Amino acid sequence: MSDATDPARSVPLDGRNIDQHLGALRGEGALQRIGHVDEARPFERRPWRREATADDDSYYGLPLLKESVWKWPVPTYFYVGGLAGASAALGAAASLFGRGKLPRIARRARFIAAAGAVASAGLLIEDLGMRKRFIYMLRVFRPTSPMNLGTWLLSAFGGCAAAALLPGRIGDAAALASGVVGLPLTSYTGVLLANTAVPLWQEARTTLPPAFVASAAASAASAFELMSLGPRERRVVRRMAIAGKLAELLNDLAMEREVSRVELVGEPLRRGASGLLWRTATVCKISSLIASLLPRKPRWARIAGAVLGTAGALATRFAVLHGGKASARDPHAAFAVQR
Amino acid sequence: MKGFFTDTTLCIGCKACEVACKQWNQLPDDGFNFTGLSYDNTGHLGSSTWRHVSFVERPVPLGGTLSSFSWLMMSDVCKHCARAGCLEACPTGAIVRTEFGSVYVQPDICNGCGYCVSACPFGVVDRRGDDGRAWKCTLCYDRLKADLTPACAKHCPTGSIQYGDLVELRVKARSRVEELHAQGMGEAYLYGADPESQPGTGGLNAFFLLCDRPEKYNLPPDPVVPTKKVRRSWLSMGAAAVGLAALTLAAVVTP
Repeated sequence: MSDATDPARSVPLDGRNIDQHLGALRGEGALQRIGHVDEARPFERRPWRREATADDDSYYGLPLLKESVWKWPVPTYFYVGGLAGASAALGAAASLFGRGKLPRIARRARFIAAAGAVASAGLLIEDLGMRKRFIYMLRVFRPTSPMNLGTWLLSAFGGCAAAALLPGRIGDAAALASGVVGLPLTSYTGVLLANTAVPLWQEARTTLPPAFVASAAASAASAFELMSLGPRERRVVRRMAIAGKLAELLNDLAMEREVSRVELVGEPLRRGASGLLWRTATVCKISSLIASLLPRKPRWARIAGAVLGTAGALATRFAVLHGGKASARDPHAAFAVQR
Repeated sequence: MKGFFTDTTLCIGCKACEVACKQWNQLPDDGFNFTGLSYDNTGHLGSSTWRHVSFVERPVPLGGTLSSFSWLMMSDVCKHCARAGCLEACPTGAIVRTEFGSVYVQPDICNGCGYCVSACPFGVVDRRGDDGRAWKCTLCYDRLKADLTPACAKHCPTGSIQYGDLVELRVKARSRVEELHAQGMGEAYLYGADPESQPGTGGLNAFFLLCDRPEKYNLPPDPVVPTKKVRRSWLSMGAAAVGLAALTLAAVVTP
């Protein structure tokens, strides 16, 4: 409830303009908590592409869709969840088929997975409108909602990743399980975005999941590249880094093609803040790949490659989120897809 | 199955529906803006605005009229889609289908994840920042349970907003279109009246009679519930996950 009160009547000013001394609020919207009363403001009229004109086929250029309400924790989670999932997968492969020669990868993957699962949950809760109700995510099992499935996946992953820290057989079995669950964990976020009415995300529906998977592989490889490893382990990580970064760049090209089937839809990846982020991500990924490909890699090149790879993965996620927001603001993009 | 039939040719833009909705549901005002967009100072549906009257000014004559200018007015509302994007996306089960066929957000369940906001192809549902939850038209669920007409339909002075049984409303709407056509308004048509004309949403439980392209009223021309298009994305996700498994194995196995 607002702190402001009407001095004449000492009634809280919550925009309802109802004297609460005269009656109790019982309407459907009465439960709405009003922190600040909306004030008259210069109307946000944002014809995103061009000035609205009489023959313009839109409603005064106003957005058709609502902009996503997600903030920085969501793209950060996309990165952290991807990192944790891909690390768990690599760790599981290392302990299953590494013939005991990749102990550090296998061990550290468990820590990255467990820490990543905790951080992921924290980030997702941070972005909720009502944080204390986070557990309601597990009230139902709803296959039509990728977010619901994802929460179940993350919960299973978190459980396995925590159990993987235990010693002995239980820990090993749990590490394998977390590696398996980690695979869909890296990629469902792409489906989550595609399953919206936002033109950019919807039109990128084939290439978004592989984009996040490739990026997760590159993120995990980058994280391991920053650690001290044996020569054989270093080779494993390098292969993963090169393959991941190459897949990222190729898939980005495919995504640009996919969203540009309808010209207006691809615009957020070319213009504005999201376009800048997208180009930054590309530059990071290319330079990171070059650093990984250097034949006899000096230490600085390895670190530079890892930092750039991480920056590229993060920038990609932020570019996709902000591109989606810009896309939702453009009514012409939404109309063009449907015509 | 209950719903709305909004006949825009009868709308006079009085905004009684907006007021009745705010009043009955005890929603806060939205700041008394002056937008400069014709008589529309509301702009869009939102978390605290569940009815919105749009005003379309066109330098085109309408139907049999002699004037070279025409005004289209439409009272916009949540469409209560037969297949609702918000409902299918909701991860908590807060959004449900009621016994009246309407789509309802349970405020005691919603945790404000914001997924429905992006999943609605009509841009209806929104999250209120200071409240933290998603809100939209409830089709006056409380009134329906008491066998009353929703506040907006009750207050509409011209019968532009009609509430009733969907089957009856559709019959009424079709005969209204025929009537208008006979009067020389050939541009009149129904928007979202049944699953055949709008397969993407399975038809709307709150449908409209329009006289221009949907875009003019800020309605999507061919809305499709996102889950209908996302099959390819799941397949692609599966392939990518298998690819990642193969990559980790190959990286580890290669000497």
